[in-house]
Amino acid sequence: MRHIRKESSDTQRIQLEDALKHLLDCDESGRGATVESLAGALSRSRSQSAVLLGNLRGRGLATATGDTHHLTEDGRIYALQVVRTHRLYETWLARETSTPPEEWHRQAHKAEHHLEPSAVDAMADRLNNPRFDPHGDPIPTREGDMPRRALTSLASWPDRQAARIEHIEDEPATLYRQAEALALSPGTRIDESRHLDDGSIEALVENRRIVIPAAVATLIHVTTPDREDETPPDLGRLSDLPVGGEAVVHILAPSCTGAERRRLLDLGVVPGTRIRCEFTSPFGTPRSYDIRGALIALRDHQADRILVHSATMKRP
Amino acid sequence: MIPEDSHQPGEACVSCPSRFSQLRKLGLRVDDCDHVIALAGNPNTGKTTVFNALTGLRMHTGNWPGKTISRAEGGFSYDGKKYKIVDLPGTYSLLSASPDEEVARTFLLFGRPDVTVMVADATCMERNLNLILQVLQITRRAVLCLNLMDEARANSLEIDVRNLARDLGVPVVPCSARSGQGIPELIREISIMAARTDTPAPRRLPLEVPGLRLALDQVEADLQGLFPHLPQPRWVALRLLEGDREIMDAVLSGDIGALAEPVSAQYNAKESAT
Amino acid sequence: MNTPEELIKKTAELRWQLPQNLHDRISESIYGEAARIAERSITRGGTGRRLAWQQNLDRLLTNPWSAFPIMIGVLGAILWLTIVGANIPSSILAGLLVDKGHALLSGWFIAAGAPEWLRGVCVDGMYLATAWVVAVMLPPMAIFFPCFTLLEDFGFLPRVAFNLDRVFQKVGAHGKQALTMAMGLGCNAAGVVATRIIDSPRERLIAIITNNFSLCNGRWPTQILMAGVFIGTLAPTGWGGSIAALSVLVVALLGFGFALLTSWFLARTVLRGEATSFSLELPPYRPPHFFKTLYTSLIDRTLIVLWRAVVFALPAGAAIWLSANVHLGDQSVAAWFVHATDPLAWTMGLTGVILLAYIVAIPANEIVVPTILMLTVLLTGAQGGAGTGVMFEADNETVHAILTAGGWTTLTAVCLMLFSLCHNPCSTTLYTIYRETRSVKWTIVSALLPLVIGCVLCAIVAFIWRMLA
Repeated sequence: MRHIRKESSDTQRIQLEDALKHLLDCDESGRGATVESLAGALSRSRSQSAVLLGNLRGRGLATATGDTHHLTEDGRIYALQVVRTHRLYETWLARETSTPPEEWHRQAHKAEHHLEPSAVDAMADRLNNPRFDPHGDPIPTREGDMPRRALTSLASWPDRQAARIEHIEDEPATLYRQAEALALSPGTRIDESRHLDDGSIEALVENRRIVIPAAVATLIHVTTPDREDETPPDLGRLSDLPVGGEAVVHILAPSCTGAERRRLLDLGVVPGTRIRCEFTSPFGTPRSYDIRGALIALRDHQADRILVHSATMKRP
Repeated sequence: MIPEDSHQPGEACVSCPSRFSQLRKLGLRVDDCDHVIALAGNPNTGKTTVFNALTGLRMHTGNWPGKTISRAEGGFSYDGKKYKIVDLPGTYSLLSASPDEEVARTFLLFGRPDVTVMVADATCMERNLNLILQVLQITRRAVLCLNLMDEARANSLEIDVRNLARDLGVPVVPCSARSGQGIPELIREISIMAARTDTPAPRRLPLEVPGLRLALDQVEADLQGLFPHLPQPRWVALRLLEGDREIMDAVLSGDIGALAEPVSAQYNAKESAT
Repeated sequence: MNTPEELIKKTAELRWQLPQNLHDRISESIYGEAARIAERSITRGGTGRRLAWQQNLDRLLTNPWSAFPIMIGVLGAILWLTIVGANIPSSILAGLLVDKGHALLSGWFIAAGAPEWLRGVCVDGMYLATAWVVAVMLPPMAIFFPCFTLLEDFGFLPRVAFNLDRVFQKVGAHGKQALTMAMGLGCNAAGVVATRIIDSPRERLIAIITNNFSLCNGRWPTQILMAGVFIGTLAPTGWGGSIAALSVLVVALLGFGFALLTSWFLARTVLRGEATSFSLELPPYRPPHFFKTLYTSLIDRTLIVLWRAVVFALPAGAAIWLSANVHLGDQSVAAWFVHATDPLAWTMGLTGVILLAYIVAIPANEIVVPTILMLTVLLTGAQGGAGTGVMFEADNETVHAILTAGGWTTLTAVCLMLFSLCHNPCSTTLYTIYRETRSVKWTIVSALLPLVIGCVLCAIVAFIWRMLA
């Protein structure tokens, strides 16, 4: 299966594996890969790209019909393994390390060519075999199983229709950083979206009115939210709660991930939990909150990611 | 890092009150015991204090979550039976793949303790119930030790112990481990539970998650087909759906079938599993 | 009927149909059930709020105006109690173990007709070093740790972490690092063990690496002696004691600053990344059980730390004796080393004797001063001392006379105080760091980072000092 590993030099293998991923992308989206498309995706010359495709054909990983290339069954399994490694590695970085999000893709891109399948499986087990990576992409299982999804870009989503982010493309990195800065993550709910004249989209996200640039909107794929409950009109953040004030948790913002999210859930910060702000530290942050009978100190940037509504609403 | 055994059997034990007369503390003597007891609970609930009260060891306990670092073991004997106690790491939950939670989960499932003593902080029961409900999905050979009752009373919290016991389906013992109150009652309940020969069915949780019920029912039914006497098919099914590799491997190798044997007959298996 | 393999395969397919936020939903569901059960069995009387005295105490301890005076006051009181309170038991122990025990043991070896070198290695080397470590370490630790534990049991320490968290957050660390650093004032090894309360690995590693900047028990005596002998004498009569105490405090605060600085540096370079899961529970105040606490902290902390120190002091004692008594050509190993390193040490404002003392005293910082005195007497032939390779202590005037004879100036004392603050942790601490991190790499970083800082700092101070002089 992974005979490229043994026979080839590192650089050649990396190129071949990147080419395989491009072919997988093309197969998934239904368009075929060509010498030109591969040259564009890997930033190589046409002739280099043609040699790569010839190499893949020679190894029985790809077949050509006319100009377009498709993966063979072997090629697909190989490509899925590379994708699996990449997405699992990103998940691991997101959940178990404190690597900043803009670093995930670059580090995973390096790791995908070097991690052994056994190490990848061990990593998956440590993470309880996650199904989705931090960008919302499905992670192929070790058996090479991955569901196909129809994705709708936010750019083509109808105005004023509520949406939930399902996936954010992590390339190009500069645009991904912008999405990250706007606190958009898979799971984030988008309300009252509206196309502006320049193609950018104004929307209400977690009770903040933001403008998503047109280029960023094309990276964001959305779907209809499955949670029936609407965003409450008085949605706010726990960090805005004054000392002595009470509020009820609406939801944990999707940008709160990994160990931090797990710990907050464990402490009982789940929808419906009533939280009271007790006192602040001499510097203003952290502040201490009464959460289900225990006094817990949270830093402001954490409390920022706990969305709350006023305590007068009845507790479920 | 357990200090050397401070009491030899038969040695006069000056620090024990007379009501512990039946309880001959054994410190670290944990070989050839009759029953294995697991101690589970949230961090900073006085779990280690309960452990010390039961075993006569003097591990340090602090008013600070997460003091117990290594898994501690100890023992005591009561009414002619010898008990081995394993102090599991304090966790808030058993859902995640963190090392602490994995240790606790594995021990509760595969270690199959005769009794699991769940230590809870009576002053913040909701958070403690989160863990208790998860433990009860694995085993109902359990006793709930409602610790810090003195503090709960000071906070004018009233706990209807009988109602709680009925609701949870396990005995509930209120106590204040720091002053030793309720410890004799706890020991009595432990011995009664340990002597039970039947295995009560684990408590079921209403998991109101869209789409989950259906998947859970399917996997549970298949599991029951494969391992008809598995005590906690629903919980195992949930773990499978959560992607727990350890459970998957146990299903594939058939090891999970060992959980179907009656508790009393599997002492040796228990030793090898831990 | 299906097979286990089919079941696993089916499960894998079913998983794709479950909601993405399955874990959240399950937690929510369990908490929902927990809340229902609690509601059925628990009734909340009164206001349903925390007790008034607890609230008031919290307000007092976290108020900007009262929090800092209280925290500084409590820390100061513990340090004072430790330093002053340990004096008497320390001198009793020293009298018993160092003076009487040493003479007794020497007598036995001589009576048994043991060869001179064996008596030297065993009694003058190993026994004396160990006795010294026990005499210097045991009393302060037996006071410091129980005090600390009492505060911990009461619930004061989590509030300290809460108050100081902002400072540590700024440098990319965890508020609980404040506690492990305070613990390090007693013993760095104990401080490193205490970092277990920090549950995110990155912040914990930062706390481990920087713990050495907390001036530990073993180094307080060096600081106090240098301050008293050299810096205190610069002050006008009557002020010597206060100036000396102040200079020690400055060094300790400098250590706090260095810890923050290196934390900041680490968090931005090798240990880069955002703060991971911060969670700090503020438990209710609980009156501590005094005697139980005394007992457990003695067993748990004091004795364990002491035991490790003793294990490391034994070989160090042998090394010290041997270095002074094994000759290469016409000089002892110690003399060779001192002469070879003198130029290097000079640039750092130190002497070769200090460097050698630090190297042989890696196992236990307590024996630095006695070793320095012994080596200085050995090499300068100054009056006093207890024989070749035999460590000793003396009163301030004698020390001043011996050291000045060895070419010491105020600069040497200042640099020694700085170097004592910033150098590699003792071997007990290093071993503990290795045990806690299970990483050779981080153990080496923990050793070299402060050492490099110390060398550079001393060199800069020496350079400027000489420029000005």
